[in-house]
Amino acid sequence: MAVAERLSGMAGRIAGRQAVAGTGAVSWLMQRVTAVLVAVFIGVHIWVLHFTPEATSGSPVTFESVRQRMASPWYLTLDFLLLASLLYHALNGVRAVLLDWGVGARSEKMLTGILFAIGVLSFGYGAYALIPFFSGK
Amino acid sequence: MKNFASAYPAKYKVGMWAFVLHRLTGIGVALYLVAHMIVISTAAVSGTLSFDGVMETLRRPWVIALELVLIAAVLYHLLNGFRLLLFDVGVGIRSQKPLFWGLMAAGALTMAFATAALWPLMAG
Repeated sequence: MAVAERLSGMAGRIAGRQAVAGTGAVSWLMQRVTAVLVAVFIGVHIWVLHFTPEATSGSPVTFESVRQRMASPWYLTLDFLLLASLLYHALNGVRAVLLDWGVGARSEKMLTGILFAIGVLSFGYGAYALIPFFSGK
Repeated sequence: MKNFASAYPAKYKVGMWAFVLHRLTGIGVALYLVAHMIVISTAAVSGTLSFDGVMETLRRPWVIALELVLIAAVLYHLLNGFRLLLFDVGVGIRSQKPLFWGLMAAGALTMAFATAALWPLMAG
């Protein structure tokens, strides 16, 4: 029983102090919009990289195969949209969880600012990491 | 704001466990995203040979097995998130439990397909 109590105690802490803290209307709406975008883009991303006949038959992802994929404006656009929508969805989700736990509740603007900065920096690093596939080294 | 979330975890029903699991998979996948961006991006900016080497390492059977765990977490978050979106537009609130289990059945089927597809890579 002690284990069950522990587990349910952990579940309670994961759930948070509040049912769902007020996170703001824009944050709420954007979480739904990005959810739909991420669902579509991540489906394509996982399918293309892991479940195409080439992938399941064992041909590895290589610098060259990514370079060819990135040469298509469609994949490039898809990758940037996935990067942007997923970063927003993940960081906005983290913000909601932290506010539920009471972290940053009293300095919500600072919390939002820090997470926004992490998002912008991550997007920048993701875009920077694509440069080699265009310069070829 | 009601304060019921952590008050009586022992009394949680399906909907509450669905919520807890949505949080857990959300946090888990967000942490994975950090590792994913660091590993793949750093490999990409470190040159052709290093990128191919990292990709080769990521094809080991145990990595593929972990990938299936990741896919399960993403899939759960996606399917339960779809259920939440339905509630937002006023659909399925009264039948939230059968809706949950129906989506979980769809998830289990998808996982069976994914496991079968990746099996040759795990079997070596």
